[in-house]
Amino acid sequence: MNKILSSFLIIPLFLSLTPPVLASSLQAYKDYIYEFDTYRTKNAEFLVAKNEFDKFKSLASETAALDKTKIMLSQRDQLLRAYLLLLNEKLNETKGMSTTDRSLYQKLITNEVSFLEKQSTLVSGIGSIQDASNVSSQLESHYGVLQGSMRQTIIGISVGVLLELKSQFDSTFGRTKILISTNRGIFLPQKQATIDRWLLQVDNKTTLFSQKIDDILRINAKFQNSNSSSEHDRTFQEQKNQILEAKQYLIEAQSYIKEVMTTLKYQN
Amino acid sequence: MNEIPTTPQNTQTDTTNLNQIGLNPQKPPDIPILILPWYEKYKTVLIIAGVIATIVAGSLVFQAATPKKIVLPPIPTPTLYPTPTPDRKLSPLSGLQEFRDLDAEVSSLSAHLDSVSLDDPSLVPPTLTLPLGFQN
Repeated sequence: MNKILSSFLIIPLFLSLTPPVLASSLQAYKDYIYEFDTYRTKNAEFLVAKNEFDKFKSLASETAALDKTKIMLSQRDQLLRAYLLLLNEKLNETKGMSTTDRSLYQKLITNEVSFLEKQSTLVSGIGSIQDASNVSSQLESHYGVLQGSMRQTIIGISVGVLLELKSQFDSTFGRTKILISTNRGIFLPQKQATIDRWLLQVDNKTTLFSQKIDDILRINAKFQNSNSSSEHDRTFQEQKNQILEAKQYLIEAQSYIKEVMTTLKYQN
Repeated sequence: MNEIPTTPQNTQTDTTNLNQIGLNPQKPPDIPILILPWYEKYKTVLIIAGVIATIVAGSLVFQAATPKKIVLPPIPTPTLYPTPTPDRKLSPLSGLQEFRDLDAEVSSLSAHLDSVSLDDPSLVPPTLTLPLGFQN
């Protein structure tokens, strides 16, 4: 009995002493950078071996080229998986995102990871240069979807950060309105009118912010419908601009709250 | 200055008339005609114009040769008593702890909004060489 009781005391104590896992996205980023460096090295080796094979067409050069190709393809899959893992960690750390949106993006990541796992299985079974080209072409044809999922998730993360800022803003704005309403009696009518005008401006800007976020999310769904790289680039850039515009609305709304605070601070 | 000479035709007519009335007129002596060159006529005007042209040309050359003066911006005279800022009275609300907390929160959020970056550089997708590029 004593042993059981003591274990109940010791285990929580032991758990509390273990260091918490902080900044998992930072670790995922380090892993991604490591995988990227490795990929660059393996890709350079592959290019040398491929050039030698194209030049000499000997059996030895073909064997070397095949080995280097398999290593490079395997590393390429690993790099993409490391990147998707990084996106997943970022999604987990973004607080402003709704659960539905987070699940949607995580589902996209899961699909892509399973595709890459299948790719890895195929890579291990490659027996010739032609096999390698066939396996590689599968990723090439799928890359539009993969890139779309990545970019969709990146935009989702940025929107999540914006919504987190908006949540903080709403809290501050709410407190400001409460402060004004509780002290409404002490203001002169002219001052009250000025404060009301500022508050109206804040409301206008927050409305514009919400509309912009809706636009971004609507456009974000377009990634699913297109495989064209140029269209992806254009849509991605368009969304990034819209995100900056949404942030600007929030900054302007915040500046109006500052004006309200200044008006409240002074009598004249 | 120059007299206009009488024409020989007129003289002849007059002589004929005098002969008709029985008088023998004395023939007047021939006056030599002096024709001046055209510039003599405008000598004065030309001299004045030449003087004016010399003055104008000289002033232009002088203006071109003289280095331009650099105009320095005026430096305001420092005053011992700067312009006083308007005296603004604090409202009773500004003394409340609630107000001070909210003011600090607003300032903090403003600074955060200005500094936050939405374009995370760590999320740039990897650049890959997709086609293997083996020659057939």
